[in-house]
Amino acid sequence: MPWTQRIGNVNEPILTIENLHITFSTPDGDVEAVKGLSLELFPGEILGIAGESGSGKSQTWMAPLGLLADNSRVSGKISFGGRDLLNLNVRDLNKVRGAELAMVFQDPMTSLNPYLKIGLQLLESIQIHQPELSKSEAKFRCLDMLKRVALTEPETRFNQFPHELSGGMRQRVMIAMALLNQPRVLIADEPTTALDVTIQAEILDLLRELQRDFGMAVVFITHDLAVIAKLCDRVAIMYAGEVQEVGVTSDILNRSKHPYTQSLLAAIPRIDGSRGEAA
Amino acid sequence: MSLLRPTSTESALNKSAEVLQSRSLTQMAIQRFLRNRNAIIALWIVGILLTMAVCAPFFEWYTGYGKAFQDRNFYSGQPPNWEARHYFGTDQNGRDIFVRTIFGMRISLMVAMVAAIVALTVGILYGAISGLAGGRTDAIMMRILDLLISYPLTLIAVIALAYFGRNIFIVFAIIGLVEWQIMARVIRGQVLSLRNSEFVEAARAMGVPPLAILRRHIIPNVLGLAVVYMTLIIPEVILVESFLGYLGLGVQEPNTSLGVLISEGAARIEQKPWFTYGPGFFLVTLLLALNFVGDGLRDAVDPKDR
Amino acid sequence: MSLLEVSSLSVNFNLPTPLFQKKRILHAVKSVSFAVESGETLAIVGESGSGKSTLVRAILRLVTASEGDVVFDGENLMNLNQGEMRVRRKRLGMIFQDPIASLSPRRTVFQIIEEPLLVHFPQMTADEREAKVGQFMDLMRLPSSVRNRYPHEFSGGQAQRIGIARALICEPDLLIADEPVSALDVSIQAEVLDLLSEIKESQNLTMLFISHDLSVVYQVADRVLVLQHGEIKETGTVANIFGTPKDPYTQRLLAAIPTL
Repeated sequence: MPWTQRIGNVNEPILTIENLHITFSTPDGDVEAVKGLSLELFPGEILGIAGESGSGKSQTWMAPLGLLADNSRVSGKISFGGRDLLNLNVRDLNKVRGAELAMVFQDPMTSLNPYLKIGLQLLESIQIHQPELSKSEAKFRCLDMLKRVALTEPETRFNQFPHELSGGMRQRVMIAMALLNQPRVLIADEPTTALDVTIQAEILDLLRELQRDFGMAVVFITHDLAVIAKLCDRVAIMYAGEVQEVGVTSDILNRSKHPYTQSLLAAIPRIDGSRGEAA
Repeated sequence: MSLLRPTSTESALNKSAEVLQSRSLTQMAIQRFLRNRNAIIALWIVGILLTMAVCAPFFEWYTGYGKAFQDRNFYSGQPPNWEARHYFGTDQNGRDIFVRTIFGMRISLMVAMVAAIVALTVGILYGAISGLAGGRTDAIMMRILDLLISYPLTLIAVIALAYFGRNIFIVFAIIGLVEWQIMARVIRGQVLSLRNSEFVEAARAMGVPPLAILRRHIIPNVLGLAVVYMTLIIPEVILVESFLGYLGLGVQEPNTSLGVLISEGAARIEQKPWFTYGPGFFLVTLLLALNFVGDGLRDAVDPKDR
Repeated sequence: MSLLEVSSLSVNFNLPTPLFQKKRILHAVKSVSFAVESGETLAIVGESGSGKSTLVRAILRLVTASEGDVVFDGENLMNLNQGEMRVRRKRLGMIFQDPIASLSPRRTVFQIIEEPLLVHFPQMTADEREAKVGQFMDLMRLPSSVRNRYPHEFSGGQAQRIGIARALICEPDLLIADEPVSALDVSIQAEVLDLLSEIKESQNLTMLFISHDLSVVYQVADRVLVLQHGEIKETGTVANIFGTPKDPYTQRLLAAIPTL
């Protein structure tokens, strides 16, 4: 099926966040991490979420997956597949997360279980959501996915432990794990921040390629606008728990008048003798 | 970029300075502990027991201790008697068991604290030096420790007590000698992991001499663990002391300890069962409460959310 | 004469090998030689595993080099015993990759910045130390209200300023920065790099700057040394390396930088 058909109607958002509030209760009082955020994600697009540490960008996207800490209070609505993810019970949520909505985290060193072989962790992911598959069929799909993410020697890697792989390889495994069940939305939370620049470039290329092949929507969270420029169709700039600006990437990066966006752009190092300046 | 333009970091620092209250790691741990209800209740119980132990002479006066002793034959071996204020009965010499128990608890706690302090000091020093020195020194020190651990406590206790007589200081010494080994091991483990931390590396890069690194950077970061282990060692020490007392190797008369009391009670358990009620109840309560406090401290010092 | 001259420095690690098998050795640094002139900033660039961190730790003798010499201001550091080396450390400052982890968690900001003075200037009075710490906190633009706070209360960028103040308080001749901004957000990176550039100018500091990110290096370095698998692939001025890179590895590193 051509990917354009898989995506569906590109004018209807696939995921909508409405008036999201996330508050954490701490010994010093309440901290409002996300303040009334509303955002739409359209099928087949790569949406960048740009912001510094503390802007609330990660917390916003933990909410649809139900991964917020125990001391958090959430209000608002997150519509996905006709349901409000914030109101789902755990059992229904488990059917969604990992299958239709998948996430890749920042630190590949700690996201994988160090005591289990890579293969087992991949199998776990696929067998939970597609129990009808036979063991050999599941294993075949895992190996196939490892090849898709351009992991060298997939059969060998399948039987290795996480510590035997480099950071870049582990991140590829994480991406493979996220894609095994062909999610409609992939959320990548600073997936390349912990990696070297050369590996980062490879992972970004990989993500773009996979997004084209699978036709899924991707949410890419980062503090690096240069990466967003390279990868994302649209971008939302976040600061202090609110969306400051959202729009097509080239518009935002070249024509934005918003002071915060301009200060972010100004911080980007350029290799031409000057610090990056907003147009 | 000029010196004049205030950066976002600086404004953030200035703002936070006004709003937030600074808290050290220890203060955060104390806060966490205070939120743990079980630990607080247990702490209260320990506090009450400690106060009772300190005020032991008061109880003596309250129950007319001296009077009972004079009128031995009348009072001896009586079951609990509310009106005469002998809540736990009297023992074979006419002494009120409750009072004996409190005095016994006093001795038990004293032994526990002395042994714990000895264990703490020797254990921390041995473990820290071994962990920091590393290499051959560490290996040798650990092998010595292994050797010491493999000696059975009971055997040593019996031999020592047979040789030196039933001296309370021997009891202190023996128990302290056993407990420090565990502390040393635990501290050494913590020191080993601290050694590889970035701030210790930074101190070495700065040229801080090894003893100063130990004093300023390593010891403060093992104290938390040490305190937790101490609160878990104390109940163990009380048990060991009780065990020695039960074997008849404990403190001499007229002093007594919980273990000795239980031992005396156990001998007469069929005819006069109330001899064991007092000491038994207090021993169990004390141990449980101390264990809960220890658990609470451990959770406070090493939270999972960090 | 260069301030720092490294000759044929090698660092080998013995890997755990099963019994009865030939010993496995990891050659982390393979006979590296370079020099740093007074007042210049030399950047050492390489990916994870290139040996760059091991190299500087060997120079500072935090790790034992297998062979080679490190001549600092005319004196070979490899020939000194631990006590003598400790004295030389007054002239060598270091800042680390993880800003918060490099600060002792149970000591206040004041105590952390003060510590080098206690080690190298024991004759200073408490008032003198207080003044000096205050001076450097101002230099790093840290408000004096934070002196009694603890490392875990700061963000990465703030903590790195504390680390830099600590490294500079003895006014060293050479500052070694081990990936000082890699753990920070891009906008905070810019602030810290600006700060380092300012200090470099005002204090005429010689700096050895390690990074895996060439775009960061561009902002602070005069010369660049490219390291791969423990070997030097290319050295040159910033203009040469960025303008006309000769080695294919250098070219790959440049191509990987995401640009607007």
